[in-house]
Amino acid sequence: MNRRTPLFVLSTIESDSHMWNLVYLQLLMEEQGIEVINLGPCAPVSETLQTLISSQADALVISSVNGHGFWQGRALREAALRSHGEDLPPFLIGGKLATNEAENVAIAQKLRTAGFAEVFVGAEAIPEFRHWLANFKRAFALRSEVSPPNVTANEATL
Amino acid sequence: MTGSSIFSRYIHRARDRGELVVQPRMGWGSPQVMRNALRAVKACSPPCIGTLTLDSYTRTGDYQTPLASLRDGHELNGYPIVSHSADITRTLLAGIYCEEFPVQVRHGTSQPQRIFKRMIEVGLDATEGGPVSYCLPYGRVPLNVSINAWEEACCILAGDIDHAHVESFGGCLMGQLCPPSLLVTMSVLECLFFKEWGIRSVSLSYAQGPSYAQDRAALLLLRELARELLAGIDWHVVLYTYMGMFPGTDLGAEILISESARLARESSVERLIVKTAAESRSIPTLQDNLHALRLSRAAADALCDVPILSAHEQECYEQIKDEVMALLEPVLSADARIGRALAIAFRHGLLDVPYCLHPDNRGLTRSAIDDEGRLVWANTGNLPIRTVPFPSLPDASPAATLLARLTHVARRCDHVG
Repeated sequence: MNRRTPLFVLSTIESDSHMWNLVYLQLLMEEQGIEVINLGPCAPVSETLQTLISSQADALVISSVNGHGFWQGRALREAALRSHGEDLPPFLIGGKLATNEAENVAIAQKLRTAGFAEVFVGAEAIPEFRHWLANFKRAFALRSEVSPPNVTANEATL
Repeated sequence: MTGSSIFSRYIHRARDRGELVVQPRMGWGSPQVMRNALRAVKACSPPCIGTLTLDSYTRTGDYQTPLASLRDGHELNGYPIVSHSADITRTLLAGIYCEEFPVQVRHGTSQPQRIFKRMIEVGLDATEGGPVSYCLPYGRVPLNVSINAWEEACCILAGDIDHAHVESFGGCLMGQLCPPSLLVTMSVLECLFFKEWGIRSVSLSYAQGPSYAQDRAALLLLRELARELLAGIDWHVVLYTYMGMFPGTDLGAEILISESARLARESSVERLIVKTAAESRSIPTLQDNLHALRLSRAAADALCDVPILSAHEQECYEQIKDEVMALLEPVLSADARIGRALAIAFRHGLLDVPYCLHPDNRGLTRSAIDDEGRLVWANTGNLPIRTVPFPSLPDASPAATLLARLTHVARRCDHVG
């Protein structure tokens, strides 16, 4: 997609009605020069995936803070693979993904195995996410300079 | 008082004694655990009233998963009143729920019909919510669907329980960063909605904010509007201890909780729903709740009504009243039916909850905290108010600014502590 700024879809898992984390993250991403489609709380899996594909977004960011993020985040990834195969932009996930912080390392590993490009949990989640965004932007800018006009969303990945 | 609910009779008796009613939020999946908790709250000295907070599966209309989850040994974050049989709930309440110990059902659902039917079956008579306040901040159920559901749900309650009590959650909305005038407006509108649909006993809520002076002013105005617009039905005011990001230290939390008790008592509020010191870390335990209840009662009992506003509070009062009258007028003239009027108002942004992402919220308004710690409008969008927005300096980081506003109260309390 020959876009000047990256476009991300920001969503959450279906059971999560929290809103402030999504409001905050949209601002954080926009500050970094990312255009954001924010689907708000309790987004159905189908809507998250449909928006991701139809917008040809460069990445999907899932933020969840209700403790169900590991289970439903993994289910979302599996649903995406079933319906769209491997031809997907990077999936990122972060927040409070389990009811117990002690499980963070284990669930992060399992989510990466399931295909999430990055998992942001724990005290350093936001700084790490900012850092990842900065790197993504640099790579995106470089690609935009050198890429032909018909680069696909899939190729615009890290 | 004939034809009134257990709930409102208790509130009136407490008011006559000059006593603040204090209430926790609490709910567990297991009936035995829930019963023990209610019994412990009832035994609190001085006494408080009880709550059945429903779990989040029940709130989204999933009545199957709660029992499966309990069977698998997982505790729920509330009581599944629809999943458990009516008999089980009646047994849970037997010998505990009575004239001297009312119990209110608290939930967060935009379509509460099944919950209200079960309430009737088990003999409970008090609940809360509202077509807007339990819709916009919580998900993506269309506002029109929620309005229709609440019309039906109020009819269910009004048809079967003489003077069922419904509290509006309009004084809370997103939990923080909503200027007082919109909270007052929404509480009043939702109570008018309940009244239109046959409910004869209501409470208007208001959530403690960053400014004590603003809150004093807002509570006074809320009572004046209730006296004028809800004449003929039973009403009272309920204050919520701060519903936003809570102080991280125990002392900071206790300062905020005590402040809310003082605010309630001085402003003649009949009922206070407390938060606990555990709020910033986890779902509160029963002990966390008992501690918060005792702390609030102690703070309140040491005080009395302060009906006269200070000069600063009076200034806040004029400002808030100006905005509320400007917000109410177009809504009340949009349609004689409050539900239709609310739908029209939100569609045109005449009501617009700051930062709320719901598709039926216009999303143009923004708020800020000024140099005196007052919660003010930073962008008034399409709201029909004359208020000049708080001028914002060019923002190096809007995200950091939002975070600073979200943490304002917590930082103030933790600093002092």
